[in-house]
Amino acid sequence: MTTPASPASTASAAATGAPVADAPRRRSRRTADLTFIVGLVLVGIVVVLALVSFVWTPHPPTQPDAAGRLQGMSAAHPFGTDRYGRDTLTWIMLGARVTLLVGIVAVGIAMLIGVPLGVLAGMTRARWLSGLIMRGNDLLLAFPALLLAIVFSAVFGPGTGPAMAALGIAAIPAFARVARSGTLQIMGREYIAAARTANRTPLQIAIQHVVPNIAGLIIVQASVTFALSVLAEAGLSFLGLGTQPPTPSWGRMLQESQQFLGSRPELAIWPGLFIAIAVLGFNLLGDGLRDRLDPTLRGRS
Amino acid sequence: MTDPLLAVRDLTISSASQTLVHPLNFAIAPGERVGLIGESGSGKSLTSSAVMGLLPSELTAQGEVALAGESGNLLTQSEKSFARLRGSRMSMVFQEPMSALNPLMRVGDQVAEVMRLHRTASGDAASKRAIELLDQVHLPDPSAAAKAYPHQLSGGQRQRIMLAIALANSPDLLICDEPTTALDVTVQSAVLDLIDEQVTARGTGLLFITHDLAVVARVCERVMVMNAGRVVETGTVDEIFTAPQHEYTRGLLAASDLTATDSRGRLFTIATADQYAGADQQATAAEVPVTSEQTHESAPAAAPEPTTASAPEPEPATASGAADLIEMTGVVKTFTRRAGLFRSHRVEALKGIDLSVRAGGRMGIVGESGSGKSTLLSILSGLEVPTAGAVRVGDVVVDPDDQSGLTAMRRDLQIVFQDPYASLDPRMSVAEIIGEPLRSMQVGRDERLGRAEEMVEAVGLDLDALTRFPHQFSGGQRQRISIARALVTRPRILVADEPVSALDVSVRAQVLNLLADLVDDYSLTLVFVSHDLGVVRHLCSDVAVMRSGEIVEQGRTDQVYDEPAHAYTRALVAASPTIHAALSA
Repeated sequence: MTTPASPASTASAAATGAPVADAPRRRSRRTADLTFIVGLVLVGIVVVLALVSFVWTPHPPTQPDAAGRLQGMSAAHPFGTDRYGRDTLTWIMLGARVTLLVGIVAVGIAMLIGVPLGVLAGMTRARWLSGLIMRGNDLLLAFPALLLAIVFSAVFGPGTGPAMAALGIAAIPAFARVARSGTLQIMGREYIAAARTANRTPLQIAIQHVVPNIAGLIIVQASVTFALSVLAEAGLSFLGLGTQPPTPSWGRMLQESQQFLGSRPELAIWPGLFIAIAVLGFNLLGDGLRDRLDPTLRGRS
Repeated sequence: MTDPLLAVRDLTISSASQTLVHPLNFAIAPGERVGLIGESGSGKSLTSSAVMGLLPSELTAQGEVALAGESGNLLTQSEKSFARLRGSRMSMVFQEPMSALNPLMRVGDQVAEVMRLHRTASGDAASKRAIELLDQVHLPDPSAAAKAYPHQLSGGQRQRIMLAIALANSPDLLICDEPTTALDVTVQSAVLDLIDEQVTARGTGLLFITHDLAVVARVCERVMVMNAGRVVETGTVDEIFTAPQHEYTRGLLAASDLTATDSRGRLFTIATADQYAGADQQATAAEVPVTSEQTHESAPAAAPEPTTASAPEPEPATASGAADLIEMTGVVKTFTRRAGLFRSHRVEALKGIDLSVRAGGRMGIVGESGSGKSTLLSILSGLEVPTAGAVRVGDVVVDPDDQSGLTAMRRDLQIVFQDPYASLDPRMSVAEIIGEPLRSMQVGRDERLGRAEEMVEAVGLDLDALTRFPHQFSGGQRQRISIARALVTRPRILVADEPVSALDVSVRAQVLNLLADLVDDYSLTLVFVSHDLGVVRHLCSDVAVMRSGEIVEQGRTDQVYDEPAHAYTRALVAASPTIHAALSA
């Protein structure tokens, strides 16, 4: 960015006496704002679609309309209809629900298990314990997420549930690693020593000092994992191992549109576009949030 | 007067919204040594960056910078022609020698590189010349040193390398930006001598930037004092230090002088500087040939009020052999570092420390980096486990496996840390930070807030500070918050780990005064660790001198400073820069 820095941030940089050191940060901040807003808008589109689908859809989702099969875009069907005559926009809206559900559950599983493990590995003084956790992590990391999901669907039967669980479990090592490296950094700070001399227990230190200070890292990891989960779920559904009919899913819509690629490419374009929007949106949102949540940037301007 | 080497006229440095350096004029004659003094944020480093053409791109410089022998205004020169000047006609030594050197390149090659770049020597000739230069900066065994990587050298040696690089092409102007701030006192002294020697030998003009008045007095002929982007006063070293005209200069001078105190026995701050008599009065009145460190002790009549705050009389109760509050016996700490897959490297951080502090005593621990003083504090506060030996605090024998003992001990002993930027959790409000030690004592929320309010006032901050976050405070204010947190549990012992080393001079005086006040008010026993002998002398009644894990000397402060028994203590005292010593030299 070559635009001049905003007056407010420049003034504050000078006030802290370190204009030189603050210079790169100042520039990145404007980019971060833009990133955040674009991410918010993209994610917002997906969330609004999912929420609205609970109360209203342009057409009933499962009403076949033999006469209206494979129509192009029109006022009645803005995104066209599929081979059964179902409204594509309606299905996109319903598909957003599954997309968000998969992301939330997978990230939730990974975060709730991975972060405590990582913080524990970072805080413990027992070398064997952190070694055990991190080597276990490496073992899990060796399993590709999709392979794990295929195994799960073979064992538990294909469905959204096993897919979410598999994606979540596969993402645990990433969270544990990020949490551990962040924790190791924080544990070297003097305020941790101060908390220890203030008789705080390790658990209290973890909750009060460590987790809030690594939250930024974890949020970025969550957004990346969310985006990956959305992508993976679409892939699994495309293969028929994820969300099962009749529940609408963007991945399955893609798969069903295959045979019409030549005649009705928009049937593939719309779900593909929304998968891209969701993935991009969560990635950008995470990057933007990381900078927003940093209190050293907040309140300066 | 001959044509100046460097002439700066109306130099203004501004960002998009603000002027950081106000029109600035100065000139440096060939071979002249000029000091630029100022506290952080005064614009002194920006000025030197502008002269070197190293300003960050968001800042713009207006005015004129002219170097003798170059036509035109340097500020309007292209980067390419500036690059031709940098390293050949003018060069710079930075503060942090580790980050200024390339860690992946042998230092000899780095010295040779600057000659190859400017084509003053090439190939083998450059390498040979590099070794000569390393010899000139007094590195032992220069041909071996040339093959070393920066991490294999000590801080002082790295700074010598930096100097060799800067001097490689015999520049006409050398700019040193806080070159010794990151170094230990004895090393600092040697590096200053070296700069002095090299600059004199080559007739190089010197612009020396520092916050330390004593260093400037030692190295420079002329001084400019900078405050908030303006040069407030210029003059020769003698004029500035003996007859300062501007009140800021007087304040800075008074605050830097740790031997002068006001009628309450406290250090002068910029606010109280008008009562300060001046460094010369005390220096000249003290007819002590050995070292002017002793001035105020031996010449009480000259000081405005001969103080005893730096060395309070032993209180009757403690003098008569009352039990020691802290007792360390035979404390050993060995770290094992893994040096390779199968090898390990043992480092003896502490080699049998015996130390006792009486109740109400003020124990100073001085030593250079790596002397083990921080490890000693960690062990004292139960953060580290000693390899051998025992520590007793009050009635508690510190044992990290005995949680209840540790809990009891820590109620009595609190720490103020060195780095005001790392010792406060950036995500907690000040009220939460100060109240935190009370939480583990099961103190309720309302009482926590009440006591936090009380402490915030005690350390001289406004009550609205409680709802703010650490990054909204300056370094000195943060250190106050840190002190408030340490004292909120009403401990008997306060341990301070270099609490003022990261602070500006004027702020340092305020924080030291605050510490002295609080130690009196709360009748604390103080353990004060510092590398700065002056600070310890001012604040402490007893002192222990540490070197490489051992206490080489301990005793009453006056005695140790005035009649150091150990050679190392003598070297340390002699190396500590003081304005008095520099002026009388």
